[in-house]
Amino acid sequence: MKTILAALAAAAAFPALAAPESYSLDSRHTFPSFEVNHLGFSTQRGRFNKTTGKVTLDREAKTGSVEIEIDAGSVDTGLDKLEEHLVGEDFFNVAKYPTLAFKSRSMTFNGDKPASVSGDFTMLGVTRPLTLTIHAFNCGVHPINKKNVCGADASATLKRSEFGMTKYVPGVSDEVMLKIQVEAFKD
Amino acid sequence: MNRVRAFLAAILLGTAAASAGADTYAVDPRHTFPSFEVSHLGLSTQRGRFNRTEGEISLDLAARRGWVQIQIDPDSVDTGDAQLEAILRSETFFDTATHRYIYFRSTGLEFTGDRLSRVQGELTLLGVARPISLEVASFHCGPHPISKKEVCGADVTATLKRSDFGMTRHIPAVGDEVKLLIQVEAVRN
Repeated sequence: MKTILAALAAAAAFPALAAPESYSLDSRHTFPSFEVNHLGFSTQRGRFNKTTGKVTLDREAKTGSVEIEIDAGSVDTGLDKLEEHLVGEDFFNVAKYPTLAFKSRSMTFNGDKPASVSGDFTMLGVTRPLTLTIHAFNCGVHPINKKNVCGADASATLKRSEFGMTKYVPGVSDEVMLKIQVEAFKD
Repeated sequence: MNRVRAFLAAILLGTAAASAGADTYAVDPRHTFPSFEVSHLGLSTQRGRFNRTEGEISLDLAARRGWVQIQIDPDSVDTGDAQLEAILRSETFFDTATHRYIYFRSTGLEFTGDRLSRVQGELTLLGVARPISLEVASFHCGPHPISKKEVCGADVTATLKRSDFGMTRHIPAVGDEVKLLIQVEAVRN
């Protein structure tokens, strides 16, 4: 851990603060997951396995942008039958709407770290505002490939009915909690 | 192992039989998924899930007692990244060829009112048994709206240090501390 912390500290000490930097999401370490309440009995979870996107960050000017595309067909719950149902018309309707998209409009910062990203989320062809809260943002040098990398945990809540996904509400809750682990390499 | 388990089952069934109000429940594998969270390089929280979990639960809500037995198939580990899953199944992590199951068995249940609130027990991972305390949130029982069967469900959390079980690979780059989040539903027999 000390080596990693030292690497992260070194990266923090010599940040290229002068200009906006662009990053590409690391699809192997970026997974949006969601939680819904099931019949009042338990919190059921799912995850999307294919996510791509771009982030720009100017930590001095405290500005940035985020664009994310999620492959709706990559939904994964650990249960084949449920996944078949989720990709169908009742839920993500993947044949018609193959991607979910998020595009930022603004970012807030806490010091030089992003604290939230507000933007537009598009699901089932419906675009609604969504704010992602950023937890534990950190950048550093990857210990193996030596590339500059940033990572964070993001979360948000939405009501799926606002996007027209109303099947089984309220048996399966309208409110959806998103938890998104993100890592991105500097281009 | 089968004899040991039969022996344990006999004891547990004996315990259950002794309390008139105890009901047994079969864990519903379609709505029971243990998932875990670990820190990755201090950059993000990476998650994984086990897809195959079985178990049995006995509850006597009036007498506030019961027991829990869970078995998780580590081969069913699922992170969304096939390469990572292969590494996790290998001997550097879950060593699934040698250790076919992860086991949990309770040693004591705690209730708040008539709601289950904590399960103390023993987790066996990589053949190493260690005590673990499961926090039970939003415990709820009621009839399933479709099957009409009595169902109990809960959200369970716990933390452990994987090094306590001998799983030390990539510590601390991949966190030693593991957070467990387990959605559980069980159907009354």
